[in-house]
Amino acid sequence: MLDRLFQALVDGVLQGSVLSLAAVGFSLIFGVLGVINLSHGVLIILGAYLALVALRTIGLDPLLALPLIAAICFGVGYLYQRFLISPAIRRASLLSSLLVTYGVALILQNLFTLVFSADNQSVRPDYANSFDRFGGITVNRLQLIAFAISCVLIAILAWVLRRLPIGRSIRATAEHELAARLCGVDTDQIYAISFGLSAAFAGAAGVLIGMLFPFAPSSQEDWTIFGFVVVVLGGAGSAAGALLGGLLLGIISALTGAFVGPAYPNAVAFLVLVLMLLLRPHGLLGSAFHGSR
Amino acid sequence: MKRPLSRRAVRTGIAGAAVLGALAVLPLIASPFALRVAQTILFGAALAIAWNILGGFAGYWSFGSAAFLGLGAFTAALMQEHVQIADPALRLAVALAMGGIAASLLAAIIGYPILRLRGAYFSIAMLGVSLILAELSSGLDVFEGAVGVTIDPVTAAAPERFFFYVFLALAVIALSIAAAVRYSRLGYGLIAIREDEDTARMLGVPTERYKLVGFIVSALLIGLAGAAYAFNLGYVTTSSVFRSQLSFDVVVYALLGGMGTLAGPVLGAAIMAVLNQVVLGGLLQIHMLMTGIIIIALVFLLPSGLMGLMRGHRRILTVVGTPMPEERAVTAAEQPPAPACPQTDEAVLKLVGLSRQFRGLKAIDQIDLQLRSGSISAIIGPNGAGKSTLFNLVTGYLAPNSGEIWYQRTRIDGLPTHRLSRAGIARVFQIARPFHGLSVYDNVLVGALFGRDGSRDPHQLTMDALALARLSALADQPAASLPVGHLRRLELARALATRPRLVLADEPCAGLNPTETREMMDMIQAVRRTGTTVFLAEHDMQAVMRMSDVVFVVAAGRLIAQGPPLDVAHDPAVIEAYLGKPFELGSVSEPVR
Amino acid sequence: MTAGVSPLLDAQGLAFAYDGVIAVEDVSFTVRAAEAIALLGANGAGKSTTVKMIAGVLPPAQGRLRFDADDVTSLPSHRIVELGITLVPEGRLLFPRMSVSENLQLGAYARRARHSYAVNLERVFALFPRLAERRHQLAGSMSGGEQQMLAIARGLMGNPRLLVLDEPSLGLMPKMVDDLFGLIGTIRAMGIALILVEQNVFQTLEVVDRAYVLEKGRVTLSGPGRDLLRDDAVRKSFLGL
Repeated sequence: MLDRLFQALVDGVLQGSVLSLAAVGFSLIFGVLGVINLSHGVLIILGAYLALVALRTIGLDPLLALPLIAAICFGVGYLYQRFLISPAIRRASLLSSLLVTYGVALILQNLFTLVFSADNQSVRPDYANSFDRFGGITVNRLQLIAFAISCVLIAILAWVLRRLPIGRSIRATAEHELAARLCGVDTDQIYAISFGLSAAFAGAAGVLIGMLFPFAPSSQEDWTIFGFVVVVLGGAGSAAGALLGGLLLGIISALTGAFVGPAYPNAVAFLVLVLMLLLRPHGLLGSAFHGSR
Repeated sequence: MKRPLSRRAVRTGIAGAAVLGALAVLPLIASPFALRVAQTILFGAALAIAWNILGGFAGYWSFGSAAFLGLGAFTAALMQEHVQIADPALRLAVALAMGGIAASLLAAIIGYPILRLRGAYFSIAMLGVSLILAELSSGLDVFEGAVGVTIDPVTAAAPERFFFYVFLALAVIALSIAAAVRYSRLGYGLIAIREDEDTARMLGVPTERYKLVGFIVSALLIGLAGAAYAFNLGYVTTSSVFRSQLSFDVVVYALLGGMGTLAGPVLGAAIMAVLNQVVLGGLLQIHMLMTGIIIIALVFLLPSGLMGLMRGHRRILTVVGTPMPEERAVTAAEQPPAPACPQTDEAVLKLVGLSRQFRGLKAIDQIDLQLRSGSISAIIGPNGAGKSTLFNLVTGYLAPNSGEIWYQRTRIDGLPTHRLSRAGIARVFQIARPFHGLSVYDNVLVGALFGRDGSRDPHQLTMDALALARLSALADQPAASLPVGHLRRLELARALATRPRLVLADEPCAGLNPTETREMMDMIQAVRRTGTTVFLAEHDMQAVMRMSDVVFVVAAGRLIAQGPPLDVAHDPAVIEAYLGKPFELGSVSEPVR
Repeated sequence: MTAGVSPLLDAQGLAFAYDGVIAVEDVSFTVRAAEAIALLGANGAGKSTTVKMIAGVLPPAQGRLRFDADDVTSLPSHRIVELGITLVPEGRLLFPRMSVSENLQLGAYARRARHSYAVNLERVFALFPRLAERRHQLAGSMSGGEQQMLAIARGLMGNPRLLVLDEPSLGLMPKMVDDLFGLIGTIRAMGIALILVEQNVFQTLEVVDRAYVLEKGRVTLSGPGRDLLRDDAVRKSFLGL
C-alpha cells in the first residue's frame, strides 16, 4: 500500500516535470503578452515531429537533437510573433490574437496530418525501456532523464527572468509596457523574444513528450489544455509557478490513476483546476505579472 | 423628447419578418444540401447568440459552451430513453425542455462562484467545467457516453426539413430573448459590467445578480440547442457533443460577426458555415488548413467583426423612454422614499470608532466623524494617511475590522456597493473611470437607469446631469475621446444621475488648472444646492478653503483635527503633518460664496 | 558641441490627432542646454500629447523634432531614451511588483546609462535617502510621495540630458509639493535640461526660465516665467484670476 503510494508519487513527479516544461511557455506568453496562445500545443507537437524527422533522416538521437530543435522553435516563435500576432494585435485587438492562434493551430494540425498522417507516432529510443529499482520503487530511466532536463531548463528560465537584464526587461514589459518603453526597452523586441522563448520551451518539451508518449497531430489540443491547467494551478508568468503547477498536475493524475481508477485522472485534474480557480484565482504562487497589456 | 428608436425598430422588424418568411419557405424549394447548410447556420447562430448574451454583452467569455451543449444533449437523450412517451412530438418537446433545464440548473449551481472570476480566468474555468463533464460522461455508467445513447427517430419522413424548422425556431427564440435582454435594464447593466464592473456596481448595477441571470439564460439556450442537436444526430457520444472545438467555434462566430451586437453572431455563424460546407466542402484533406487561413484572414480584413463595418460612432445604447414598470414596483416596496427636503442638523453620514487594518498596519484607526446633511465637508491629510481607505469603507469596497458606519438612520457597513448606490451614496473616482466604449450620454444613462431607488425618467435625469456638468454639447461623443478635465466632469455627471443624497468625491480638482478648478468648484456648489451632501478628499487647499464648511484632517489613520477651514489651516499639528507651512489665502483669495 | 548656438531640443509645428480628434495642432518650442521650460495650459490643451511625441510614444502627424541638431521625429521611444531624453510620465508608471532597486536598474536600461550606473545610483540615493533605505521594498507598497520620488529617480538613472516631467505634483500633499519644487532646482544644478508640465502654475513659473502656454493644441503665449506671472492676459485667461 505504502509502496504503491510512493510509486504513484514518484511517477507523478517525473511526469509532472515534463508537464511543467510543456506549460511554462504558455504561462510566459499569457503573463507577458496577455495572449492566450491556443497554438501552444501545436508548437509542442512541432517539437515532437522535428525529433521524428531528425531520427528518421539522419538518425540523430532525440536528446542530442533537443538543443537544435529548441533553437529552431525559438526562431519560429520569434517570427510568428513579429509577423502574425503583433500585426493582429495592432490591427484588431488583443482578443483577436486568440483567433489567430486558433487558426494557426488548425493550419499546423492539418499540415502535420498531410505530412505525417493522422496516426500515432513515437520517437522512443532503445534505452527508453531500461528500468532502475530504488527500494520498492521502479523508475524508468528515460523518465528520469526527462525529469532532469525539464528541471534544468526551467531553472535556467527562472534564472534568466530573475537575474539577467533581458529577463528584467521581460518582467518590466509584462508589468507595464509603456513604462518599460520609457525606460528605453524595445518592447516589440521583448514581445518577440518572449514568444521565441515560449516556443523554444514548447519544442524542447515536445522532444521529451515524443520520446515518452505516442503523439498525433490531434494531440495538440490536449497539450494546450494542459497548459491552461498548469497555469491555473501554479500562477501565470513565473517559471516556479509552472513547475509547481506541472508537478501538482502530475501527482494528482498519478494518484487518481493508482487509487481511483484509470478512467478518472483527467476528470480529477480538471476538478482540481476549477476548485483552484475558485479558491485561489491567481494560482498557488500568484501571478508574477499582473495587469499586462 | 422621443429617442430615434422607433423608426429603426420598424425597419429592423420589417427586414426580420422578410427574412423569416423567406426561411419558412426555404425547405420547399432548397436542395437537401442547401438545407443542411442552412441547418448548420441556424444551429451555430443559436449557440453564438446565446453565448453572446454573457460573452458579448457582459464581456464574460466562456470557453466551455460545450458543457451546456453536452449536458443538454445527454439529458435529452437519456430522458427519451428512460421515460417512454409514445407521441414523438411530445417526446421531443419534453426532452428539449429537460435539456434546457439541466443546462440552466448547472449554470445556477456553478454560476455564483465561477462568475467571481474575471477575464481569462473565467474562460479557463469554464473550459475546465466542460472537460470535467466530458470525462464524467464517458466514465460514469449512467451517461453511457463512451458507447453512446441512441435516440429513436421522432419523424418518419423528411428529417432534414423537420430539423430545419426546429433549429429555425431555436434561433428565432434565442434572437428574441437576446434582443429583449439587450434593450432591458438587464442589458444596460450587462454592458456596463463589460465596460467596467467596479464602476457599474458603484452606479447601482446589481452585478452579481445580473451576471448570474445572463449566465443562466445563456446556458438555457445552449442546453436547448444541444438537446435539439442530439435528436438531429440520432446518436449521442461524449466525443460528439462535449467537443472543446465546439466551444471555440462559438467564440469564433461571435468575434467574426461582431461581439456584443445582435446580428453579429448570426452573420459569423453564416460565414463560417458557408465557407466550411460550400466553399471547402470538397476539400476534406485541407479543410482545417483552409479554415485556419480564413479565420486569420478575417481578423486582418475585418478587425472589428462584420458588424464593425456597418457601425459608425453612433450612440451604442439607444434608450428606453421610461423605466421598466416591474422594477419600479419592486424597488418602491423595498425602500420607503426619504423626505425630499432633508433637515440640515441631521447627520447624513456618521462613523463610529471605525478601524481597518491591512496586515497589521492600521490604515484607519478609531475614526469618529459626522457629516451634516446638505454640507460640503473635506477630508485632507498626507498621501497614504487613509483617505482612500475611508472612502472605500463608506462605499462598501472594503469592510471595516471594527466600528460602525451609519447612513441616515441605517447601519451600512458590510452592505454591498450596489445597495449603497440604491440607498443614495455615489462616488466620484480620482482617476476617472468612464465606460470607454460608450458615448458620453450612455455613460450618464447607466447612472440614471440604476442608482437610487424610486421612479424616474432616465432620459431627463441624464440630460439634467449633463447640463449641470456642462457636457450637453458633447453627449454624442465617445467617452474615450474626452480629455482628463472633461472626464472628471463626466464622472460627476454620472454620479449625479444616480440621484444621490451623499456624494463622495476623491480629489475632484487634482490635475485641473486654476480655471478648471474653479469650474469644478462651481459644479460642486451646484450639487450642494440640490440638497445633496458632499464629502471631498482633496489636496488643493485653495479649493478646500473656499468650498468646505468643515475640514477633517487625518494622518496615519487617525483624525488629528476637525473644524472650520481657517481654524484647521492654522492648527500646528496640521501644519506639521501636512501643510509644511501655514496656509495663506494670498492675493488671489476672493471668496467664492 | 554646438550648445549655445542651436537649442538642445527644437520642436517645430508638431501636430497630432487621436482618431480624427485633433489634440495638438501646431506647437513649436525650444529648450536650450541646461534650461528649464514649462508647458502650461488647461486639460486637453495638448501638453501630455506633446511630451509623448517628444518621448517617441506617439508619432507626430506633422512637424519636426530636433535633438542636438539631429532629426529625431518619429524615432521609437527606446532610441529617444538612448539619445538622452527621458520622460517621467503622468501617473508615475512604476513597476509596482518590482523592488525599488529593480526599478532603478530598469531606469538605467539604456546603453548610455549603463556605464555610469554606479555614479548615478549614488547621486540618486544622495538626492533621495529614503529610497536607499527602502531599496528592497516593492515599489507598489510605497506611499504616493515616495512613488513620485522613485519615478523621478528612475528617470535620472537614464543619465538624461533632457528630463521631461509630466505633472509630477499630481496627487501630492502640499508639503511634498514644496519639496518637489525644491528638487527641480537641484536637478537643474546637475546640468540637466528640464521640461515641466504642471497645473501648479504659480510655483512652476517661479522655478522655470521660460514657459509656453498651450490652448487648444496651439502655443498662444510664451516668455520668461516671471514675466508671464505678471502678464494680465495670462492672469485673466489662463490662471482664471
